[in-house]
Amino acid sequence: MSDSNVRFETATPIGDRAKPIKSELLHINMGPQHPSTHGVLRLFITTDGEMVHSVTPYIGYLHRCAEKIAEGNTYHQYVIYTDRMDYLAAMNCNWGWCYAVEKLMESTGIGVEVPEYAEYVRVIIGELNRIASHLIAFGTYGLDVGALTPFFYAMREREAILNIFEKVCGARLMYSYYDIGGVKWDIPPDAIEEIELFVKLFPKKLDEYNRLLTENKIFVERTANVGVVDRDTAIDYGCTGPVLRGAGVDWDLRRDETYSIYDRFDFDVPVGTGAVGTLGDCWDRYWVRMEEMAQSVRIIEQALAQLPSDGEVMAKMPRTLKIPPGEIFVRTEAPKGEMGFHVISDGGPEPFRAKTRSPAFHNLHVIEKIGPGQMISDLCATIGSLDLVLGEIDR
Amino acid sequence: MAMDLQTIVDRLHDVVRHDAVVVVDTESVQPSITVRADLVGDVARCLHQELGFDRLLNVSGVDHEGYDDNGKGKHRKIAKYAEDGSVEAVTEPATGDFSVVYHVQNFSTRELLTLRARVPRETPVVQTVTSVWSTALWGERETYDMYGIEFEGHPDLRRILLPEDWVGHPLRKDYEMPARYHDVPLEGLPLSVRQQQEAEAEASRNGGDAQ
Repeated sequence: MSDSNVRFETATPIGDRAKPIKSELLHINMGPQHPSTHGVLRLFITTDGEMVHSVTPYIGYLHRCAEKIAEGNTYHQYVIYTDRMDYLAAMNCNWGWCYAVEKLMESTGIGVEVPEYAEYVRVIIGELNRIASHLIAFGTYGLDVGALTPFFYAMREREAILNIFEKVCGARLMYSYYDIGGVKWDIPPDAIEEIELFVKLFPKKLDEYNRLLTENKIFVERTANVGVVDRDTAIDYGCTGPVLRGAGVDWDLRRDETYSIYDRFDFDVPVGTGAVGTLGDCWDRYWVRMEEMAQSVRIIEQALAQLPSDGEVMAKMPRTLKIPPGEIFVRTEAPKGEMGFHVISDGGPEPFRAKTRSPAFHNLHVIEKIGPGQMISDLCATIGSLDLVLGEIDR
Repeated sequence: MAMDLQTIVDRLHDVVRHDAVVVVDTESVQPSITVRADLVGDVARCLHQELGFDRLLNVSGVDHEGYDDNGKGKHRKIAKYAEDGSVEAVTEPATGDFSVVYHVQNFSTRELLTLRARVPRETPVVQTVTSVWSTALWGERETYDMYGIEFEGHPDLRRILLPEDWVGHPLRKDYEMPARYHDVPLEGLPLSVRQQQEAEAEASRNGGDAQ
């Protein structure tokens, strides 16, 4: 320690004025309306000055009883409710549900063969939506730590994806494009051209983002060594997706428990390395998302090259879908992590039980563990790096 | 690589208790074991520490009310263990029980296992697994919130998605939505009933003012 770091002890008590300073922890409600909580999330935090002592998330402000609704709707009707879960990656939520129901049908003996063409369409659209979701994560994370500009860049590219989706299915946010047995409509030819153009241009944009934010010194200072989720914590708390991979766990359902036609594509699974700080810090999680966008582009390019010139988009389905008694738990890799559906059928047209294992629900939980001991501003950086969507947490 | 389900069951019988596993289902697509509700935590510890199931993916509750009554869901042959540990082939008992379903995974072998505990509707108490997998801290809270299943030993068993003063557990099949919450009439009731309740509330308010 040099002399310049000497602390000034101005508050030294003199004579009988000496009194112990009374101090107590401060209880603060962060949210439900707070810019850094990405929705209606309330964090009840106790602080000692700027230091966070404990974090207790209160969720449920956006609870819409999706699982109860599922028990009163048919398998097809429930697709539109899955849109409302992770509304930034509605396609992937649709896919998770449709895939779970298809698996359940297969396991109970009324097999359904999703046409090959439809599988390609699913992969292309699903990966595009992954990019859109990660773009929001990237842009809003910049906002969280004080960089305003990346958000506009991210929204510009997301707009291009939403325009493609609008051509594909008419909707810009709540798509309901996937259906049990395939997808609802074919992709129009001009949308295919737009997708081709997008994947051609997007890698250059990614370089731009990296120059703008990833390598930015202020950004690295704000995120490196902050909110470290180590490997054991990530597994213990059920973290999935970029949070798990950011902690150095090489795990991606698309590759390790491959579904759909992901085994036909060559792609890497980015894993956090602690490049600028500790393994599993906020920067690692952010970086995994940036790399995943590049990998999604690779997958889309390959899928477009392999896409059959024409084909059915929908399997032959019974008019009324009744699934014999059975039970299944199926996970897919959504942008936020592993989206799981635990579906039980009882032979009727509606599911008997449809539990959603939402990735952000468990990713948020880890804040109870890693939040204490941080500064409040670092807590904001940590929340942003978890990429929460409250629609999915509360369902 | 992947462990045989019977090996797991034998191990659990050795380590936890000779009758810890009640039902073994090998015929489903996803193999499952049903264990005694008061031993779930001990079984979980054995699964985690000795058999390497280090990852809890999901905690899910099920209300079986109405499922078994129509005879559906009974067609599978399920081995059942008697009190002394011997196997006897019977079907699953048919009652309106609750069950808690844990989906666990061994990260190194990628093996999946479904762990169940079935509890009677009158006394829905399950031993917690929170000391084994922290994922269950919130998963069990959600199951408690939605089904009213108590988890014995859970350090912080509160509602999670619904407000703390909410009445009832919505995912129970016999759940009826309260007419109002904090003086806010709730949708879902027939319009005539709601209008009647509104009128009654209005009348009581006016009556109160007059006095």
